[in-house]
Amino acid sequence: MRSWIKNRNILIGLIIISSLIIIAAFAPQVAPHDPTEVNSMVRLQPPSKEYPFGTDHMGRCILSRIVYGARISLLVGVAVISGSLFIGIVLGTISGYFGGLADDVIMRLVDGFLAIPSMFLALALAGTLGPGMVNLMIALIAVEWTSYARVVRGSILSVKEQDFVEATRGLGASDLYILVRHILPNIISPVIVIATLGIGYAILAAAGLSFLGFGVQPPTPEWGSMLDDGRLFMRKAPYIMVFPGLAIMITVLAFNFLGDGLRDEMDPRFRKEIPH
Amino acid sequence: MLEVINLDKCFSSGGMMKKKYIKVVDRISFQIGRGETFGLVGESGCGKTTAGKSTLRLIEPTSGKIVFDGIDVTKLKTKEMRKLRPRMQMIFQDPDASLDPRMKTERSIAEPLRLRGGLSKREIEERVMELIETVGLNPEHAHRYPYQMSGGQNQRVVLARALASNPDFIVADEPTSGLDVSVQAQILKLMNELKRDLNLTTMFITHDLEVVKHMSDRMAVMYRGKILEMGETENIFNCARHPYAQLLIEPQPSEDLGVQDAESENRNGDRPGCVFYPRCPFAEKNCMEKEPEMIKMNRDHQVLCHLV
Ligand SMILES: Nc1ncnc2c1ncn2[C@@H]1O[C@H](COP(=O)(O)OP(=O)(O)OP(=O)(O)O)[C@@H](O)[C@H]1O
Ligand SMILES: [Mg+2]
Repeated sequence: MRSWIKNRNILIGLIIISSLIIIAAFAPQVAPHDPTEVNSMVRLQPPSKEYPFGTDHMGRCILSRIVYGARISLLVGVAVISGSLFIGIVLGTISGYFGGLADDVIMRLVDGFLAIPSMFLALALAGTLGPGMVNLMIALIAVEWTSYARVVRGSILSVKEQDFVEATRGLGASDLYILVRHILPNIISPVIVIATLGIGYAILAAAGLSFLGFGVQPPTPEWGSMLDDGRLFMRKAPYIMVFPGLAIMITVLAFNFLGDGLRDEMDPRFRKEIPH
Repeated sequence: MLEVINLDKCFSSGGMMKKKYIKVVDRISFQIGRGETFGLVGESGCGKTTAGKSTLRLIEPTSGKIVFDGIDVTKLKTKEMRKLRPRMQMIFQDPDASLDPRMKTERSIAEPLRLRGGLSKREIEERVMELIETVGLNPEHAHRYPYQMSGGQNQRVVLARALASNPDFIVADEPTSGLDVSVQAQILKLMNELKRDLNLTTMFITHDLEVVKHMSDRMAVMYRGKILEMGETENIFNCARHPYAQLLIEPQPSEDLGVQDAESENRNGDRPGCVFYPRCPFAEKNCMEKEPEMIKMNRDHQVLCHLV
């Protein structure tokens, strides 16, 4: 555990992500203004002492909107990945461990989902379900779960053939015991890695859908829809788009750093020293 | 103690349309008495591992009957089978692969004890340390992962783990094949001691004739899924009757028949006659046409050959 902190990618990722979590948790204390307060006196103001990131076309404080927007983005990212993970682990496990008819049915379902281009699927679902944060999450889970199901199934297939699984069965252990004690712990590292990377991707995709007008609706502060707001004033007031854009970029990068670092550190076989 | 009757194991291969069945273990029968070590020898790919795993129902036999200590194992339901499993343990060919890479030695050895239940945490800990000592490991090995230990040390952990479930019967599948010679000797010595101290019944699988000679009381010679000759080890080494067994025991330098790989031949040609016919130096017309039956030479010496 201690050696993980020495990994620079993990360290950078963790620092940024924990700062984001703190900012999101204490948004009312951190934000200088009410994120939805409209003030026609201060429209399109460049960054100043009062409004460090400037104001948008309705005179709302951009910094405050970004701070509150962190709540939405983190929530969407974590919720989408948790949902996808849950579906992916359950279906992938049934499919990989028990095989047979269940495997055939589940894998056809996965193929069906994968046959539709993911952005198209997300757009079509978000469009059909209508705007709103929950529908946005459902649309993204529909896109994401397949990759978890496939990774889980593939890892289980390779682990369950190993002698130690057969040896444990030979001790009289049940399928459930073998799954929980031996198989899942041995496949969880790649899953955690892709889930961490996936949070970044989900945040990006959620911002993209909101930018296109699906997903989170105004006046809720959301990074993607803030980009959309700023589009018309790009020349006159670029800061309306620059700061939310940076927020998205930094957040996605942070999850990528963490995911990459974890990939290097997770497997005990890659660790060098003998722990005591 | 253990009686195996007409055990068959087929694997299916190929797609859904053209299913092919490969017979890997072909109607083998043998008995192992209590406290006895039964050697199973044969070249690579002849089906030794498959025979061992089928005997323990780690893989489901295609047909045949297995009676262990009076219990018809093949008839047991999954739950009853699970209850019986601790009494019959298998030691796999590759020690590094038979341990969970995420479990330290102490946890691996404690697992069978935990699964059995009824022991307190203290008792489990004590028993684990006792077993670590029994198999000749140091207490410090308790806190190591498999990748931090040598193959020989891991094989000792595997042994300790098998012993932890208090088995009556052990199938040891080439327990030393991956180890270098000096470590091999140590592990074999340890197994012999354990067998004596715990009165274990063992099925010892190997391709190394020196090892069977040293370890087993009785032995069987396997070739392409069939047992060709079976009897007391001493008897077979002194007067092997089957041409294949003779070749194994006294390999002719001019003929490399004995080392040819069985897998390279077309094994599932449903050819009648003796399995060894294509390679047999004494083959007659009869051998090609008719499948031989087991012939009893004396009370405990059987040969599958037309010519004896
Ligand atoms: N699960 C399986 N599916 C299909 N074929 C298999 C399977 N397991 C084993 N076989 C085949 O059965 C044959 C015998 O394999 P087995 O492992 O029993 O041989 P072995 O005598 O133990 O060889 P070795 O000395 O190399 O360990 C081989 O030809 C192998 O390819
Ligand atoms: Mg083998």
